[in-house]
Amino acid sequence: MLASRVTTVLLATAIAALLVALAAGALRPEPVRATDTTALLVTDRPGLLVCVASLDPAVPRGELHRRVRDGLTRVAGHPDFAAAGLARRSVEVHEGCDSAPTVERPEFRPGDRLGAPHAVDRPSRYRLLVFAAPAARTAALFGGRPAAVTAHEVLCANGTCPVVTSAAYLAPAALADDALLDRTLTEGVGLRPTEPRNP
Amino acid sequence: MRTNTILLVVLLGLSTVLLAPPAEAHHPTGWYLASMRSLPQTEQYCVEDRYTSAAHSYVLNEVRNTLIVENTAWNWDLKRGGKVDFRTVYTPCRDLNSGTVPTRNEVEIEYHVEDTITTAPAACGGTSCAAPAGPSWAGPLGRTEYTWYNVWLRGSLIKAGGDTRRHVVNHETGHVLGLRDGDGSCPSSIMHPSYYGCPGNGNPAWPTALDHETVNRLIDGV
Repeated sequence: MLASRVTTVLLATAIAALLVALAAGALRPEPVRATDTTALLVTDRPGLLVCVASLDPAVPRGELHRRVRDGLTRVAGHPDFAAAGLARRSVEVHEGCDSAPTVERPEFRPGDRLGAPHAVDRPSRYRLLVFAAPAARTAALFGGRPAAVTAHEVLCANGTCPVVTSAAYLAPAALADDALLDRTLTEGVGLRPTEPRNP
Repeated sequence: MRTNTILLVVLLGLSTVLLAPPAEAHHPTGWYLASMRSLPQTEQYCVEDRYTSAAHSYVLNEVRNTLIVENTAWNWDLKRGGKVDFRTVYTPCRDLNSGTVPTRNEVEIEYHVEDTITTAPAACGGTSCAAPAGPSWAGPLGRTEYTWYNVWLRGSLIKAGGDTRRHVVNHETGHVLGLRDGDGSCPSSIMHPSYYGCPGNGNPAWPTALDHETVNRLIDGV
């Protein structure tokens, strides 16, 4: 009789402990990890989100948004776009970004191709941040080029800090040039440029 | 009572299965340099000495000796039919630019030797580490590859010379070639040394047969 009661108490305790442990596991947020199995680069990005912000008063936000949205519509025709996981949901372009351009960090050195990425635990929900910048600024930062893609965030684990978020900087000339804009956005979302088609 | 005991045993078994951490592969891989899968493309590397008291020629030689000169049977160089083919750039990385040959963007790997790790992401915690950059989707493989790698090496480990220097250069270069750090499974590997909880492995100076085999598999896309 006593043995039976002890077993029942043990059973009840075990059930309670199991339920608590399972609930705790379910409530604990899944840790975000870098991944190289999609071009989204981290495990918690549900689809391709891109943000735009203007560092150049001469480029209105609405115009920047429209040009980038149209460019991404063309980039979505890239043969690897879907396979790379970028078409899981419809592409969204938001006005305003959730982190500051790294070119404004004191440790950013022109010519250093890694730049000065933010080291983060929880990467931005944006895979790509697009900044419009004055021509003189992009030229000074990127060796005279009107457009460049930089490492914006790294996520470190196990001795390796892969880039998980990119930023594109566009001078007005790049914004006005479909081919250059598309090439920059293609690189920015982690795809290889396609060969130009013959007319 | 018997039913209760059986239920208890089943519950304990269930909890073991449900609450156990996921099993890890023995040799985790990922984030490798794209050029290592391409036969005509070599792996050019430069060495940066801005934050070490040692001369550039000294740190360059230490890295070069490890990668190319010493122990050609077991170093990383010229394996896999020459696909991994390190080429030394004798100019400090910071002096390369769009007007030099090669340009800085044409150099796949930068080794930054720093007495106190200064320019690496803070999350490296001041230790040697590696950062792949330039993510680029490789369609046929279904993986993202990386165009460049920056590697940070602690100056004291390079200046210590011998197997200490060989271990750190070969371990960090293992990251460049797609090998990740020890996960506690402790196979014979330069990525699973004693300081990752594998005392039986010591701190190997050279990549092991398993390391070479794993990189071969990555290159073959399997």
